[in-house]
Amino acid sequence: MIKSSKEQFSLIYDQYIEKIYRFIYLKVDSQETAEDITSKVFLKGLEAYQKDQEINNPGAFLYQIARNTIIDHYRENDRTKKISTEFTGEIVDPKTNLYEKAVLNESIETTKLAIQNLKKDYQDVIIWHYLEDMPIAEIAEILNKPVGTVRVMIHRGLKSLKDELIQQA
Amino acid sequence: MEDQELIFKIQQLKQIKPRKDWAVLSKSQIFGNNISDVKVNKALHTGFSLNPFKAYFGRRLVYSLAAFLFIIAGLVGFMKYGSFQDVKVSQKSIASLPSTESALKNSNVEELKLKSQNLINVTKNKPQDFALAIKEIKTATNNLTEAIKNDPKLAGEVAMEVKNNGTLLSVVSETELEQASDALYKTIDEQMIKDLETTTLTEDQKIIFSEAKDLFEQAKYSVVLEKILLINSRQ
Repeated sequence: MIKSSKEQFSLIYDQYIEKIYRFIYLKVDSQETAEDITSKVFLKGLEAYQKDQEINNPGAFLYQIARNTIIDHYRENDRTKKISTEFTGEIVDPKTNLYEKAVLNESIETTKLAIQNLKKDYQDVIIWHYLEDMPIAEIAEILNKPVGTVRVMIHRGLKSLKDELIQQA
Repeated sequence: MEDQELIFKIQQLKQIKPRKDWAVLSKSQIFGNNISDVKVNKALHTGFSLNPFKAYFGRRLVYSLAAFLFIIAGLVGFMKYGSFQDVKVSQKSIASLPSTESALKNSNVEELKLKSQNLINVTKNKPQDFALAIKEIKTATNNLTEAIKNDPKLAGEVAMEVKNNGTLLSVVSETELEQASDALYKTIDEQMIKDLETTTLTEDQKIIFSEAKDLFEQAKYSVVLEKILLINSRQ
């Protein structure tokens, strides 16, 4: 039986929710923000899917939306920060520390921080290749770059991550 | 720091997962009521019919019929097995059959997840227990592979869980473990390819399926599973 586009996309949600959440969580400061952005990513994905947009690779499609939504978040955050520092001062989200202390052990937190200090493109290729086991050809497709270039980026990214971790130790 | 150690640290990040209650809530907010929810609601609605007389006697009739069939089945069973004790045993084993299958699947998958998690902890905190942890995870992987071989239907049910939870098997480069992991993916892939060969696919799905079969020939079993799940999500 042929499933509706909503039903089809709900299966894609089941398959990718963990990966997309993890990708976003590694790039933002709190669980709450990661949840908020992840929901937005799937909502945007569903809207595009329902408009009969051709999606050959749901993973690449969702990661692309996630990257753009994270950029939007930081742009928005920059604007908010300017206002808040001027009028109300820095707002600290206590949930961030609570979550990170409770759930993530020290080693994970250290690696996360090291990844966040990498160049944005290096962050992406390291997460996709070494954490999500994505083949280099697929990463090249998402980034619209030649396979050779991606291979070099992975190599350099791993070296930068190593330097970051040694520096933190 | 060796590259292997660095990759292990990255793979540890697989422990980052969304909260289950949030994932469910978010899904319901995005997709609204799905088909199964609607079915549940319809069933509830029938239960609280506006015509209580009809509902009451309707249900009584159904219960009477069920009771009648139950008595007949009991009598047949008693005649066949000859004693009350035997009847009890046979009814019990029949009743527990579906839940045993499901429990078997869950216990095998859970065992694998647990042992994978243990491997991470041991590598970090108790390196002296590393060999034992590897052995345990290998056994768990083999058990799941055997369970799928015995009941091929399990392949489809566990595929997503095995893939999504990653099982962390790729973290440690141990030949024996890699072999066990490959055997598990291969068994799942084989069964799912067999199922897909008897399924009508769209042109789009046929292309992915052909890619999956090529990758299977190249023994890239983990990537094959990813492709198959992609095909299933489009059905």
